[in-house]
Amino acid sequence: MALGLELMAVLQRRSTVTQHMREQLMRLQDGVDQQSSAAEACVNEIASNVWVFSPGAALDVLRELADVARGRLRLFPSDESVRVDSEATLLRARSAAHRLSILLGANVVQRTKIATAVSELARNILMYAGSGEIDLLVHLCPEPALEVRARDRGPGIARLDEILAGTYRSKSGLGLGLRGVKSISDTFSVTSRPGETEIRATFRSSAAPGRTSQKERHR
Amino acid sequence: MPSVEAGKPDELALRKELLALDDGDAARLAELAQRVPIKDIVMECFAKDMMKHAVPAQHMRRLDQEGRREGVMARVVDAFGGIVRGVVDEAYLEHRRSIGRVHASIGLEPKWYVAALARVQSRVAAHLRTSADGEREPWRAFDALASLGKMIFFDLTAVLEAYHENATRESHLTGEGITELAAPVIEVWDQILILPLVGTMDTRRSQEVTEALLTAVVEKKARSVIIDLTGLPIMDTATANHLFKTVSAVELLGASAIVTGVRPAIAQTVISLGIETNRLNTKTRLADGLRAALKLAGKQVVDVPVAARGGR
Repeated sequence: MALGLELMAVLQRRSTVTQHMREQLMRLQDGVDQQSSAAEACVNEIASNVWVFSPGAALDVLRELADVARGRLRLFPSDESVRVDSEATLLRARSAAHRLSILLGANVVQRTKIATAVSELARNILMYAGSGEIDLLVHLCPEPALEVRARDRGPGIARLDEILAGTYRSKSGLGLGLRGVKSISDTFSVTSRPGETEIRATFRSSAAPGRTSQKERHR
Repeated sequence: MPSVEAGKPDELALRKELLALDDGDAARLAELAQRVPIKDIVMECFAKDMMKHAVPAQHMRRLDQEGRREGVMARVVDAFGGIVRGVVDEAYLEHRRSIGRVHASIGLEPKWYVAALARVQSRVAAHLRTSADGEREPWRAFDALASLGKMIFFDLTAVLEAYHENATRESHLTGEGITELAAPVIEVWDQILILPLVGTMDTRRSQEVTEALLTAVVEKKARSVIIDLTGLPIMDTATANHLFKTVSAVELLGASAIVTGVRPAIAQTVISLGIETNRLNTKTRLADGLRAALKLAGKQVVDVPVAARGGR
């Protein structure tokens, strides 16, 4: 059976299939190229529908879908790591983060924040260390969240305190990158010394029940 | 993407067989290593003068800043020296591949690497010819050079393959971000330009777009420029910085800049990032921007009565 039909069967049992999704799924044949934009659009559609129509059981449903699609299409978020050493790999890190954030049910604002943060961190790696790694770690407990870790072996971040306090401005940029990531993330930490820098930023996916209101209160 | 096949033992065997590289060569190379000061030769004909021409200045500067130049130099000499060690195994093949990947990532063109190998070869030949051993047993020197030649071909193949693989992967990746989309400057009305930004703005593309825009502002004697961000997936601080600079440059040329099409998610993120946007003249939709630009040009959009419905 074609992959699209198999997935549709699961969705009909566990969630909802909209007309638009039905069309997308019908186009999804076996042997899809994971990189193709059609497959990607379909994954996006499936994930956001599952999060909208069955938020409570979304991760379970995605897990079940992933079992069906195993080896053919990635439908369940799992950790990824991207080596960043050029603008092209920066984009790859960003699109991986974007895809994972959709699978985790992040809304459009949260997705934009995640993609922006990955962009900032990857650009810092390129500018100051030349190359490094962006790790994207998926947390499912206590609530869906994406953790971004940027690691490099560059010279380290001098004047870290000033940067985070906003009193330092770099000549090249706005001097806001790192501080910006701190302010858009839910948790943030930096360890940096010459030859070893690691920045961790976690973004809760806002689709988790009861999260949004809680966050607003904290502000 | 095909995986790197360095790990397959039969691949290594095949390569050796293709080049007729055998244990005899290994022995001759090991002997050569005893007789020829290979590190000095490498240092002399490659590292000293060539490195500063071959390695892109930007990368060299970084090496110097981080005090890594000497270390890298030692590694290069060591890597070249390995060619006469006579041990050709998996690790050796993978190491040669890594050389190709490094070259691709720092933008070192293959011609430099090939020339360096050629220089090493001819210096080794010159050394053998003038040495006492060479004069006594010229045939041995000749055989040793033939073995060295095989190794050079072996290295070249591995390095260039890895280089090519990396380079094509890069161009493949670039496609993902639609980075190559043109950002056309559209003259939508007399003296009114629109610049729609679509896709990802990397550093190089931002510069190209700005140059094209500023040139158009002067050529078309533009009064106002509308920069439309509807197609921009995200705005990070680098993109924002670039946008500010572009707006400043447009205004310096005497035109006014209007920014439109900022999506809500982007607006929220930009504010959270702490970017000051007060200096930007923004309008919600492209249409509002156009209306504002027309007003600046002393024109206005008015409703005119249309024929009653059903009148056709």
